[in-house]
Amino acid sequence: MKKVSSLDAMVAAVPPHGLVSFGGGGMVRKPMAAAAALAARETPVRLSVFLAGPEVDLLLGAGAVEQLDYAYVGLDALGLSPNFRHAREKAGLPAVEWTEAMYIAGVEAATRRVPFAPTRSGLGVDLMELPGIPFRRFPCPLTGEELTAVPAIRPDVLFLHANEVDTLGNVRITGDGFLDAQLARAARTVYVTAERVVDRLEGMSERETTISRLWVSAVAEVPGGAGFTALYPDHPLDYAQAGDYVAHCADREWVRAYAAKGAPA
Amino acid sequence: MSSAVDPEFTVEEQVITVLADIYRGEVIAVSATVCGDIAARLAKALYAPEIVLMAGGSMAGFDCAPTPKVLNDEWVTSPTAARGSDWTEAFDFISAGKYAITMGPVQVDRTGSCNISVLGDWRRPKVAMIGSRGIPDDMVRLAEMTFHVRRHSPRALVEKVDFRCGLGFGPDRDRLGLTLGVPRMLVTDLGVFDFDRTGAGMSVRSLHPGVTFDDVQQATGFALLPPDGAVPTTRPPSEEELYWIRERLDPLGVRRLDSPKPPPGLLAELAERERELLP
Repeated sequence: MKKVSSLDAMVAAVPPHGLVSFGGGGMVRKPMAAAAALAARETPVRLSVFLAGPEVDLLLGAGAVEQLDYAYVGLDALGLSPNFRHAREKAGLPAVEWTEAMYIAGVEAATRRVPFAPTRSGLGVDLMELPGIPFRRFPCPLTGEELTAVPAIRPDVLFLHANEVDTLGNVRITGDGFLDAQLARAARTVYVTAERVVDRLEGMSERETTISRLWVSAVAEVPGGAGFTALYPDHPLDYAQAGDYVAHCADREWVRAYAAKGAPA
Repeated sequence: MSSAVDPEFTVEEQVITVLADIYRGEVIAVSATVCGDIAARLAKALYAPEIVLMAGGSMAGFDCAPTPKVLNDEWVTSPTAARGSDWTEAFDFISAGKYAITMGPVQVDRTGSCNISVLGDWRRPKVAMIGSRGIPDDMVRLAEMTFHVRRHSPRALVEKVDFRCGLGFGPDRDRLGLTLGVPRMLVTDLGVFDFDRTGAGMSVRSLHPGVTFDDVQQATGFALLPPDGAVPTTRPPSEEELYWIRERLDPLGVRRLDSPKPPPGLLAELAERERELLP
């Protein structure tokens, strides 16, 4: 069954107020074209992102985010995320801060279709002391050890950007896979944009990440879909364009125009 | 080795040689700061061939050679990897204690608690930084954590951190029975520091050449533990270390990003120069 679609069709299918996630991490392999299309729609969504970067900054800057769960938000060497700062410091964005291991555990709970997963993380740190957190300390029913329960993370829609996909929906990621493969098993709907759509993935290396078509809802050929973020080995991080983004992204009108252009590569 | 190594060194070069000491044994040697990253490469090249290097932050390149540091490490370092890895294996390695990590906290307090998440109240922060990341995870499974603060100041070395991402020594740690994830040491542009295991405070292990105890006390937001006799001077980098740092491991000078006051436009300059290096 062919799964080739278009980015427009993918974004149109995102439910308002739905829980959306993105693959990649920080300034690496972020689905920037998908985020821009979503930002241009200006329909509010909730976000849950492992290592959030400019794709989340862009959506925050467009005013399209109702709630944000994250283990990290930042632009790596380019500094803090300006629109995350504004949203948290000035606009009271509802947010939940996870640790990386807790986030991974939450995704793994979703992949197993269980409501929570136990972790050791959370001992002696302030993110466990915040009001309204979805995490609970509990005694292990088998040994009595104190552990932390984290809820399953089950995104309604996950966007990934890959080097290559085939027309059936099999995915090939050559560089760091981040949590993409696990998130694809956790999400209800998985949309993959890729540099290239091919008939068949050839010459795979064991160092690459693959995702089976069984996890994938639709694919679209979007060359440059990672925008200025790094996509190994296709293109390194474009520091000039990323710097230009950082210089302007606090301006909502600029962000909207940028999103409307589709976050050009 | 060239015989014409300039023995004058920068504070970044001093910090790299100090941090290189923490990377020993069959561990994955990583760092959140550039100097710590180059220190891991230096340790691999000169002292500890058994350590595992990653391709910068990329999990796809595992067990790499000590290649030159660049901004886009995946392009230069990944091709030397023995195998690939991924983030779930990374956290399994953390659960097994197989990491040696240098962190770059924004705040460290007298007990060794650290913060990278927010300044001010988390619920409406003065500055929303990057979130707790993996520090709380590292703290409950790794033996030790090492800190690198680029610029020693009362804003970085504080009486009490605004938000605890990692827990230092003291009654809270004792009450929780937490024996792992202890702060091993702090390296700054002024010196090397230890944390008292009872939580009594921070002491000076050594001062970098030309720095006095008073300099450090003035730059610290709490009273340092009084020195027990004369404070030693940090061992300066050797000629061999300087050669490796300058000629082999960081020819572009990416380490200058960790200068207490990085020159303006440095990131753009590095990005431009590195384009010639990438395949």
